[in-house]
Amino acid sequence: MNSDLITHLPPAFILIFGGFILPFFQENAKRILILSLPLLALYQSWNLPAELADHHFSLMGFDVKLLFAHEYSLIFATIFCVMAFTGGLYGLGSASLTESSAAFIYAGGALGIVFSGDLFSFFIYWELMAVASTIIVMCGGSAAARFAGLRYAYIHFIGGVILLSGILAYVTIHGSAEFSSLGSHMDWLLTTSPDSYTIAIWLMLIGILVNAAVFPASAWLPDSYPEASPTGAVFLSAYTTKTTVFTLMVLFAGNGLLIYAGILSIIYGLTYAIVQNDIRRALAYGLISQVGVMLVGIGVGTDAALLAVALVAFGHILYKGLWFMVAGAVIKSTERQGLHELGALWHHHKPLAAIAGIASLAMIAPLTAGFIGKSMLSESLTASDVGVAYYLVTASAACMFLVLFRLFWQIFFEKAPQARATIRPIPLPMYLAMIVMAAIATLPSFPYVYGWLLTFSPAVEQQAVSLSLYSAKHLLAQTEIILFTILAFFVLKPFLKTNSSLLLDIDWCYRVLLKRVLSLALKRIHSHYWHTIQAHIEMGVRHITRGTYKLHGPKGIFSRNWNISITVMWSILLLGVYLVLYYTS
Amino acid sequence: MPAKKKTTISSKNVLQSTKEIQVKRALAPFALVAFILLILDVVYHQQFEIVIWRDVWFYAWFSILSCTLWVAAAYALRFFTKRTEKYYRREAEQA
Repeated sequence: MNSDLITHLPPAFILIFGGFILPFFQENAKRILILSLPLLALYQSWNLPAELADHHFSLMGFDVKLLFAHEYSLIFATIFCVMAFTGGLYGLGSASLTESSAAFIYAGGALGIVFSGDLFSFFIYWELMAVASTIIVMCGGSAAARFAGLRYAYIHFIGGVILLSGILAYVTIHGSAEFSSLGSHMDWLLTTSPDSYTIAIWLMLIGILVNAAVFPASAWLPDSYPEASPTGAVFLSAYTTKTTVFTLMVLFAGNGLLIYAGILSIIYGLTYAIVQNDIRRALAYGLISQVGVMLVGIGVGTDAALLAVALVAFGHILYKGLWFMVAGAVIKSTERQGLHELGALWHHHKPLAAIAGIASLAMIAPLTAGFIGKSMLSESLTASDVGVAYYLVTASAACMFLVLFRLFWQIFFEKAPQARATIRPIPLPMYLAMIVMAAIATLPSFPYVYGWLLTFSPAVEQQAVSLSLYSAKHLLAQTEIILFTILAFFVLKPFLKTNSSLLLDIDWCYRVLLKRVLSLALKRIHSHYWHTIQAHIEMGVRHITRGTYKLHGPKGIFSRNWNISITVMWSILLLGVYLVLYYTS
Repeated sequence: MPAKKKTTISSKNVLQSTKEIQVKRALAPFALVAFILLILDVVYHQQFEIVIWRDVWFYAWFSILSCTLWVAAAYALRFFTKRTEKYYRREAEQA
């Protein structure tokens, strides 16, 4: 076999191909595949040759690069493969076959984007992810999951169409389909007389921001993720938004508009997350706010800020994924996901409580993955002098920790409700996956692993950012945030009481308001124009029937008996004409 | 039939005092940590200065303040969407 073909095999192909062939294997072989494919993709990602730019082919005059290493590709590829492995392990025995296959194709799509070198292959992977993630949401099994999946699909396909329009316009004008920076200045994006190039860039930005769940295109995330199955939600939490973060890092780094988009996401996400009753909905809103933090970093756009964003994304996938795993395990054990129905689970699931504690602390605490990213982002924002955004990012760290600590406390230590849910044991693969994730969440805090992670980014050598993050200043800052947020939680506890009420989001506009407007419009049409429309329809139908009767009726031309000789004569004539044309042309 | 014993302390008072003890117990670790942080502060800066107070304790009061403001914002949101929520719920029930 050609060794060049193996060394240049895109890691995404391993997961996507694996996802497609998974249904054809027996149960044990399937399990081996689920656990080995992500590791194989990880090995392939780490062992890609340096001269990737030479490998491309031409399609319709454009260079297609299925394998291209961007500055932060390896950091994202590593965490995506880790997540595919732990997600696969988590779902062993509980995830359906369709879900497992879709999850691997979804993860493969994310890995494909990370190594895409052109906008066409990027878009194909982007849409592959949209289709696979829709299937994952629908695999939740309930009617609510199916409807949420449909709404998810509508939003993502609309976003996809906008993105494709932008890409096609950009490629036509620019003459190149390279997946690289589109320029960092926002002044030309905000021009009063936009040219077609500016419109193309705007379309691309809007299409991408839909996937980042930036307000007002944000409700799809908390609408769909809580409806997925426990395994499905773990996969969903890791890929769509982080792939979008990576895409924005490549295309729009340094674009000041993203700072405002990030601020909007932080405020929106956390305001909703704090008072949510549904565990996974609270996590989903928290996810939006943390994506907002990453958008602020991308908007700043310095080398230090971008590296910090990559590490924040790395840490975020770990602790948020772990929290989604804990939430899934709680749902599996109690069949409840409302906080008002849960409580005092500490007595039944002590290891799970410990894992949830680690997942909460891993967001920001020293000796965890979150500490590295947060400290570095804080340092880079201070250096860039972004004013209010810095304070908002710091406040969001405290409030996000408040959300996680609230979940932790109310699930495991709050008094149990009157109608107690039946407690079932948690499957072993779920526990194993959570232990692996908890271990990985603390690994990057070790200097050796941390240094090794940084070598994935070539920008590290050039940047002047201080890498000694375990300074007294950072340790004190993060510890104070943790301790005083816990204090704030106990002070504010009466206001954080759980109840089953709904908190309306922007989706009300298209789920309720649009429905009402449409039904009102239809009623108006019915009462005013229906008779005219009906008369026209009747006339049209009568016309068609009369025409059909004329042709196919008892005296119609098509119901006559035709002589065979006439048919043969026409066939000979046509063949003769064909021969004449063939030899004369 | 023996007469019922009269309680000298009302149950409400007992609950109140238990609650106070619980609050004190909850706050004790924080006081200890605050003390440790203060010591660290002194060691780190080697002297007492107003600037130390501002720098080192910034994240403490900032965390509490931001959490309080955010919870208030969330409650304001809940208050303003309450009316619409009723319609939404009715719609869901009808469906």
